[in-house]
Amino acid sequence: MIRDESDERLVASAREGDERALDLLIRRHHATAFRLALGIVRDEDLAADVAQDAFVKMVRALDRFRGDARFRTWLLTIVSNEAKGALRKKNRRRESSFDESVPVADSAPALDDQVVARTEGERLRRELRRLPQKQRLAVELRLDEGLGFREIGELIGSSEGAARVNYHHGVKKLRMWMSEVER
Amino acid sequence: MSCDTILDRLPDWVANRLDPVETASIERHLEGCPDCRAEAELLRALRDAGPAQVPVGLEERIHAAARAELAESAGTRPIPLTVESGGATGTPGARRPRSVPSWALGAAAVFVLALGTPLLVDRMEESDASLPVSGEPAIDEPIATVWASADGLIAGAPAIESLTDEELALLLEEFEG
Repeated sequence: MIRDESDERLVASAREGDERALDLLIRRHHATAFRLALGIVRDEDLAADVAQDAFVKMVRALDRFRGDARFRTWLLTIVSNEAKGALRKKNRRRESSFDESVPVADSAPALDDQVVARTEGERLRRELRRLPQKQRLAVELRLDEGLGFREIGELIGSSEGAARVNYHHGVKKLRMWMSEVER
Repeated sequence: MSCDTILDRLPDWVANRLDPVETASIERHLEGCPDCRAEAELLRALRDAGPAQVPVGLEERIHAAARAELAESAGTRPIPLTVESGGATGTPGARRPRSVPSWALGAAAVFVLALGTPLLVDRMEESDASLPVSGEPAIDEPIATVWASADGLIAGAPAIESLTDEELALLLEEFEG
Protein backbone atom coordinates (compact mmCIF):
# COMPACT_ATOMS: atom_id res chain seq x y z
CA MET A 1 0.00 0.00 0.00
CA ILE A 2 1.40 3.37 -1.02
CA ARG A 3 -0.04 4.88 2.19
CA ASP A 4 2.39 2.84 4.28
CA GLU A 5 5.46 3.80 2.27
CA SER A 6 8.24 5.75 3.95
CA ASP A 7 8.73 9.38 2.97
CA GLU A 8 11.96 8.48 1.25
CA ARG A 9 10.26 5.85 -0.95
CA LEU A 10 7.53 8.35 -1.80
CA VAL A 11 10.16 10.89 -2.78
CA ALA A 12 11.71 8.35 -5.14
CA SER A 13 8.29 7.74 -6.73
CA ALA A 14 7.48 11.47 -6.94
CA ARG A 15 10.81 12.01 -8.66
CA GLU A 16 9.61 9.59 -11.33
CA GLY A 17 6.51 11.76 -11.78
CA ASP A 18 4.14 9.80 -9.50
CA GLU A 19 1.50 12.34 -8.47
CA ARG A 20 -0.05 10.03 -5.86
CA ALA A 21 3.26 9.83 -4.04
CA LEU A 22 3.54 13.60 -4.13
CA ASP A 23 -0.03 13.98 -2.83
CA LEU A 24 0.73 11.70 0.09
CA LEU A 25 3.85 13.65 1.02
CA ILE A 26 1.79 16.83 1.00
CA ARG A 27 -0.97 15.25 3.06
CA ARG A 28 1.54 14.07 5.67
CA HIS A 29 3.49 17.27 6.05
CA HIS A 30 1.45 20.30 4.99
CA ALA A 31 0.08 21.01 8.47
CA THR A 32 3.52 20.94 10.10
CA ALA A 33 4.89 23.07 7.25
CA PHE A 34 2.11 25.62 7.73
CA ARG A 35 2.52 25.78 11.51
CA LEU A 36 6.30 26.13 11.28
CA ALA A 37 5.85 28.96 8.78
CA LEU A 38 3.23 30.55 11.05
CA GLY A 39 5.60 30.29 14.00
CA ILE A 40 8.13 32.34 12.06
CA VAL A 41 6.07 34.87 10.11
CA ARG A 42 3.14 35.10 12.59
CA ASP A 43 0.69 35.92 9.83
CA GLU A 44 -1.75 33.24 8.69
CA ASP A 45 -2.09 34.35 5.06
CA LEU A 46 1.64 34.76 4.64
CA ALA A 47 2.28 31.40 6.34
CA ALA A 48 -0.10 29.71 3.87
CA ASP A 49 1.76 31.32 0.95
CA VAL A 50 5.08 30.27 2.44
CA ALA A 51 3.93 26.67 2.87
CA GLN A 52 2.71 26.53 -0.73
CA ASP A 53 5.91 28.07 -2.12
CA ALA A 54 8.02 25.71 -0.03
CA PHE A 55 6.27 22.64 -1.47
CA VAL A 56 6.75 23.97 -4.99
CA LYS A 57 10.46 24.49 -4.27
CA MET A 58 10.62 21.02 -2.78
CA VAL A 59 9.26 19.54 -6.02
CA ARG A 60 11.73 21.59 -8.04
CA ALA A 61 14.58 20.30 -5.88
CA LEU A 62 13.49 16.66 -5.70
CA ASP A 63 16.51 15.55 -7.71
CA ARG A 64 18.80 17.12 -5.16
CA PHE A 65 17.35 15.20 -2.19
CA ARG A 66 19.94 12.52 -1.50
CA GLY A 67 18.50 11.04 1.67
CA ASP A 68 21.37 12.23 3.85
CA ALA A 69 18.80 13.88 6.11
CA ARG A 70 15.24 12.80 6.80
CA PHE A 71 12.81 14.07 4.20
CA ARG A 72 10.77 15.90 6.85
CA THR A 73 13.84 17.76 8.11
CA TRP A 74 14.81 18.63 4.55
CA LEU A 75 11.32 19.90 3.71
CA LEU A 76 10.98 21.86 6.95
CA THR A 77 14.37 23.46 6.32
CA ILE A 78 13.00 24.71 2.99
CA VAL A 79 9.91 26.00 4.82
CA SER A 80 12.03 27.69 7.47
CA ASN A 81 14.26 29.41 4.88
CA GLU A 82 11.24 30.44 2.83
CA ALA A 83 9.52 31.86 5.93
CA LYS A 84 12.60 33.82 6.99
CA GLY A 85 12.88 35.23 3.47
CA ALA A 86 9.20 36.19 3.45
CA LEU A 87 9.56 37.84 6.83
CA ARG A 88 12.57 39.86 5.68
CA LYS A 89 10.66 40.98 2.60
CA LYS A 90 7.65 41.92 4.71
CA ASN A 91 9.79 43.91 7.14
CA ARG A 92 11.54 45.74 4.30
CA ARG A 93 8.16 46.68 2.81
CA ARG A 94 6.97 47.89 6.18
CA GLU A 95 10.11 49.96 6.71
CA SER A 96 9.73 51.62 3.32
CA SER A 97 5.96 52.17 3.65
CA PHE A 98 5.56 53.48 7.18
CA ASP A 99 6.99 56.13 9.37
CA GLU A 100 9.44 54.69 11.88
CA SER A 101 7.23 55.78 14.75
CA VAL A 102 4.60 53.23 13.76
CA PRO A 103 4.90 50.32 16.22
CA VAL A 104 5.95 47.00 14.73
CA ALA A 105 3.31 44.30 14.59
CA ASP A 106 5.05 42.00 17.08
CA SER A 107 4.71 44.55 19.85
CA ALA A 108 1.00 45.04 19.21
CA PRO A 109 -1.35 42.33 20.41
CA ALA A 110 -2.72 40.16 17.63
CA LEU A 111 -6.48 40.27 17.19
CA ASP A 112 -6.99 36.84 18.74
CA ASP A 113 -4.81 37.85 21.70
CA GLN A 114 -7.39 40.48 22.57
CA VAL A 115 -10.13 37.91 22.90
CA VAL A 116 -10.55 36.73 26.46
CA ALA A 117 -9.10 33.26 26.84
CA ARG A 118 -11.75 30.98 28.29
CA THR A 119 -9.72 27.97 29.28
CA GLU A 120 -6.31 27.39 30.79
CA GLY A 121 -5.18 25.95 27.46
CA GLU A 122 -6.26 29.09 25.59
CA ARG A 123 -4.45 31.24 28.13
CA LEU A 124 -1.37 29.08 27.68
CA ARG A 125 -1.49 29.38 23.90
CA ARG A 126 -1.73 33.14 24.29
CA GLU A 127 1.23 33.21 26.67
CA LEU A 128 3.17 30.94 24.33
CA ARG A 129 3.07 33.67 21.69
CA ARG A 130 4.91 35.98 24.10
CA LEU A 131 7.96 33.75 24.26
CA PRO A 132 11.11 34.64 22.29
CA GLN A 133 10.98 33.05 18.84
CA LYS A 134 13.45 30.22 19.43
CA GLN A 135 11.80 29.19 22.70
CA ARG A 136 8.33 29.40 21.16
CA LEU A 137 9.31 27.35 18.13
CA ALA A 138 11.10 24.80 20.31
CA VAL A 139 7.97 24.29 22.45
CA GLU A 140 5.61 24.19 19.44
CA LEU A 141 7.75 21.83 17.37
CA ARG A 142 8.39 19.53 20.33
CA LEU A 143 4.82 19.41 21.66
CA ASP A 144 2.65 19.83 18.56
CA GLU A 145 4.78 18.18 15.91
CA GLY A 146 6.72 15.64 17.97
CA LEU A 147 10.10 16.69 16.60
CA GLY A 148 13.26 15.71 18.49
CA PHE A 149 15.70 18.31 19.80
CA ARG A 150 18.24 17.58 17.07
CA GLU A 151 15.70 18.25 14.31
CA ILE A 152 14.43 21.34 16.13
CA GLY A 153 18.00 22.60 16.42
CA GLU A 154 18.47 22.27 12.67
CA LEU A 155 15.31 24.29 12.05
CA ILE A 156 15.94 27.10 14.52
CA GLY A 157 19.63 27.32 13.70
CA SER A 158 21.12 25.99 16.91
CA SER A 159 22.66 22.85 18.32
CA GLU A 160 20.66 19.97 19.74
CA GLY A 161 21.66 21.03 23.25
CA ALA A 162 20.65 24.64 22.66
CA ALA A 163 17.30 23.50 21.27
CA ARG A 164 16.70 21.48 24.45
CA VAL A 165 17.60 24.51 26.60
CA ASN A 166 15.28 26.73 24.54
CA TYR A 167 12.44 24.26 25.03
CA HIS A 168 12.92 23.94 28.79
CA HIS A 169 13.34 27.70 29.27
CA GLY A 170 10.15 28.26 27.29
CA VAL A 171 8.17 25.79 29.39
CA LYS A 172 9.63 27.21 32.60
CA LYS A 173 8.54 30.73 31.63
CA LEU A 174 5.05 29.50 30.81
CA ARG A 175 4.82 27.85 34.24
CA MET A 176 6.01 31.05 35.88
CA TRP A 177 3.59 33.29 34.00
CA MET A 178 0.68 30.97 34.65
CA SER A 179 1.43 30.84 38.37
CA GLU A 180 1.50 34.67 38.44
CA VAL A 181 -1.93 34.76 36.80
CA GLU A 182 -3.32 32.32 39.37
CA ARG A 183 -2.06 34.37 42.31
CA MET B 1 14.30 7.56 35.05
CA SER B 2 15.55 10.93 36.26
CA CYS B 3 13.40 14.07 36.25
CA ASP B 4 15.48 15.48 33.35
CA THR B 5 14.73 12.44 31.19
CA ILE B 6 11.05 12.55 32.16
CA LEU B 7 10.76 16.27 31.34
CA ASP B 8 12.36 15.66 27.93
CA ARG B 9 9.81 12.91 27.20
CA LEU B 10 6.67 14.59 28.57
CA PRO B 11 5.63 16.16 25.24
CA ASP B 12 5.55 12.67 23.72
CA TRP B 13 3.66 11.31 26.72
CA VAL B 14 0.90 13.95 26.57
CA ALA B 15 0.58 13.36 22.81
CA ASN B 16 0.42 9.56 23.25
CA ARG B 17 3.48 9.02 21.10
CA LEU B 18 5.21 6.56 23.45
CA ASP B 19 5.07 2.78 23.61
CA PRO B 20 3.21 1.17 26.55
CA VAL B 21 6.40 0.33 28.47
CA GLU B 22 7.71 3.89 28.39
CA THR B 23 4.24 5.26 29.11
CA ALA B 24 3.95 3.13 32.25
CA SER B 25 7.43 4.12 33.37
CA ILE B 26 6.64 7.83 33.05
CA GLU B 27 3.30 7.43 34.84
CA ARG B 28 5.01 5.69 37.75
CA HIS B 29 7.43 8.61 38.01
CA LEU B 30 4.64 11.18 37.85
CA GLU B 31 2.79 9.54 40.75
CA GLY B 32 5.68 10.29 43.06
CA CYS B 33 6.97 13.59 41.61
CA PRO B 34 4.73 16.68 42.06
CA ASP B 35 7.07 18.94 40.05
CA CYS B 36 7.08 16.75 36.94
CA ARG B 37 3.33 16.23 37.40
CA ALA B 38 2.74 20.00 37.37
CA GLU B 39 4.67 20.30 34.12
CA ALA B 40 2.76 17.37 32.61
CA GLU B 41 -0.54 19.08 33.48
CA LEU B 42 0.61 22.32 31.87
CA LEU B 43 1.70 20.53 28.70
CA ARG B 44 -1.55 18.59 28.55
CA ALA B 45 -3.59 21.80 28.83
CA LEU B 46 -1.46 23.38 26.12
CA ARG B 47 -1.82 20.32 23.93
CA ASP B 48 -5.59 20.12 24.50
CA ALA B 49 -6.00 23.74 23.40
CA GLY B 50 -4.61 22.52 20.08
CA PRO B 51 -2.07 23.98 17.68
CA ALA B 52 -3.01 26.53 15.04
CA GLN B 53 -5.61 25.26 12.59
CA VAL B 54 -4.59 24.84 8.99
CA PRO B 55 -6.63 27.22 6.79
CA VAL B 56 -9.46 25.57 4.86
CA GLY B 57 -8.40 24.79 1.30
CA LEU B 58 -4.65 25.15 1.92
CA GLU B 59 -3.95 21.47 1.32
CA GLU B 60 -5.78 21.60 -2.03
CA ARG B 61 -3.90 24.78 -2.98
CA ILE B 62 -0.60 23.08 -2.26
CA HIS B 63 -1.63 19.96 -4.17
CA ALA B 64 -2.50 22.02 -7.25
CA ALA B 65 0.68 24.11 -7.17
CA ALA B 66 2.94 21.13 -6.50
CA ARG B 67 1.32 18.99 -9.20
CA ALA B 68 1.72 21.80 -11.72
CA GLU B 69 5.38 22.09 -10.77
CA LEU B 70 5.84 18.33 -11.00
CA ALA B 71 4.32 18.29 -14.49
CA GLU B 72 6.46 21.23 -15.55
CA SER B 73 9.68 19.87 -14.11
CA ALA B 74 9.03 16.49 -15.75
CA GLY B 75 9.69 18.30 -19.04
CA THR B 76 12.84 20.07 -17.89
CA ARG B 77 14.30 17.44 -15.58
CA PRO B 78 18.04 16.96 -16.17
CA ILE B 79 18.78 14.53 -18.92
CA PRO B 80 21.58 12.13 -18.08
CA LEU B 81 24.30 12.55 -20.68
CA THR B 82 26.08 9.26 -21.03
CA VAL B 83 28.80 8.15 -23.36
CA GLU B 84 30.24 4.77 -24.07
CA SER B 85 32.38 3.42 -26.83
CA GLY B 86 29.34 2.14 -28.70
CA GLY B 87 27.53 5.48 -28.88
CA ALA B 88 25.43 7.94 -26.87
CA THR B 89 22.29 7.35 -24.86
CA GLY B 90 19.43 9.65 -23.93
CA THR B 91 15.86 9.53 -22.73
CA PRO B 92 13.33 7.07 -24.11
CA GLY B 93 11.36 8.49 -26.97
CA ALA B 94 13.94 11.20 -27.50
CA ARG B 95 15.75 11.84 -30.75
CA ARG B 96 17.41 8.88 -32.33
CA PRO B 97 20.72 8.04 -30.70
CA ARG B 98 23.56 9.54 -32.61
CA SER B 99 27.11 8.47 -32.63
CA VAL B 100 29.19 11.38 -31.40
CA PRO B 101 32.87 10.99 -30.54
CA SER B 102 33.53 11.57 -26.87
CA TRP B 103 36.25 14.15 -27.66
CA ALA B 104 33.66 16.21 -29.56
CA LEU B 105 31.25 16.15 -26.65
CA GLY B 106 34.02 17.22 -24.29
CA ALA B 107 35.08 20.04 -26.60
CA ALA B 108 31.50 21.22 -27.05
CA ALA B 109 30.93 21.16 -23.29
CA VAL B 110 33.98 23.40 -22.79
CA PHE B 111 32.65 25.67 -25.52
CA VAL B 112 29.29 26.00 -23.84
CA LEU B 113 30.97 26.72 -20.51
CA ALA B 114 33.05 29.40 -22.14
CA LEU B 115 29.87 31.08 -23.36
CA GLY B 116 28.72 31.24 -19.75
CA THR B 117 25.53 29.29 -20.23
CA PRO B 118 23.69 30.27 -17.06
CA LEU B 119 22.21 27.08 -15.79
CA LEU B 120 24.77 24.53 -16.82
CA VAL B 121 25.13 22.10 -14.02
CA ASP B 122 28.26 20.10 -14.38
CA ARG B 123 28.05 17.35 -11.88
CA MET B 124 28.58 13.68 -11.73
CA GLU B 125 25.42 11.71 -11.28
CA GLU B 126 24.56 8.11 -11.11
CA SER B 127 22.96 6.74 -14.22
CA ASP B 128 19.21 6.25 -14.00
CA ALA B 129 18.79 2.56 -14.66
CA SER B 130 15.09 3.09 -15.35
CA LEU B 131 15.88 5.04 -18.49
CA PRO B 132 17.81 2.72 -20.77
CA VAL B 133 17.63 3.41 -24.50
CA SER B 134 16.74 0.81 -27.06
CA GLY B 135 17.10 -1.96 -24.52
CA GLU B 136 20.78 -1.21 -24.11
CA PRO B 137 22.16 -1.59 -20.61
CA ALA B 138 22.50 1.65 -18.65
CA ILE B 139 25.95 3.14 -18.52
CA ASP B 140 27.64 2.93 -15.15
CA GLU B 141 29.52 6.20 -15.26
CA PRO B 142 27.84 9.10 -17.05
CA ILE B 143 30.11 12.06 -17.61
CA ALA B 144 27.73 14.94 -16.91
CA THR B 145 24.17 16.13 -16.44
CA VAL B 146 22.87 19.07 -18.39
CA TRP B 147 19.88 21.41 -18.05
CA ALA B 148 17.94 23.66 -20.34
CA SER B 149 19.15 27.23 -19.92
CA ALA B 150 16.92 30.14 -19.00
CA ASP B 151 17.21 31.76 -22.43
CA GLY B 152 16.13 28.69 -24.28
CA LEU B 153 19.56 27.42 -25.23
CA ILE B 154 20.23 23.82 -24.49
CA ALA B 155 23.54 22.98 -22.99
CA GLY B 156 25.18 19.66 -23.68
CA ALA B 157 23.90 16.51 -25.26
CA PRO B 158 20.42 17.53 -26.45
CA ALA B 159 21.85 20.48 -28.41
CA ILE B 160 24.66 18.43 -29.84
CA GLU B 161 22.39 15.60 -30.81
CA SER B 162 20.17 17.99 -32.75
CA LEU B 163 23.04 19.28 -34.87
CA THR B 164 23.89 18.03 -38.33
CA ASP B 165 27.45 16.93 -39.03
CA GLU B 166 28.05 20.24 -40.81
CA GLU B 167 26.71 22.28 -37.89
CA LEU B 168 28.80 20.30 -35.46
CA ALA B 169 31.91 20.84 -37.57
CA LEU B 170 31.13 24.58 -37.73
CA LEU B 171 30.65 24.74 -33.98
CA LEU B 172 33.98 23.07 -33.36
CA GLU B 173 35.67 25.31 -35.91
CA GLU B 174 34.36 28.37 -34.08
CA PHE B 175 35.46 26.91 -30.80
CA GLU B 176 38.96 26.30 -32.07
CA GLY B 177 39.05 29.91 -33.20
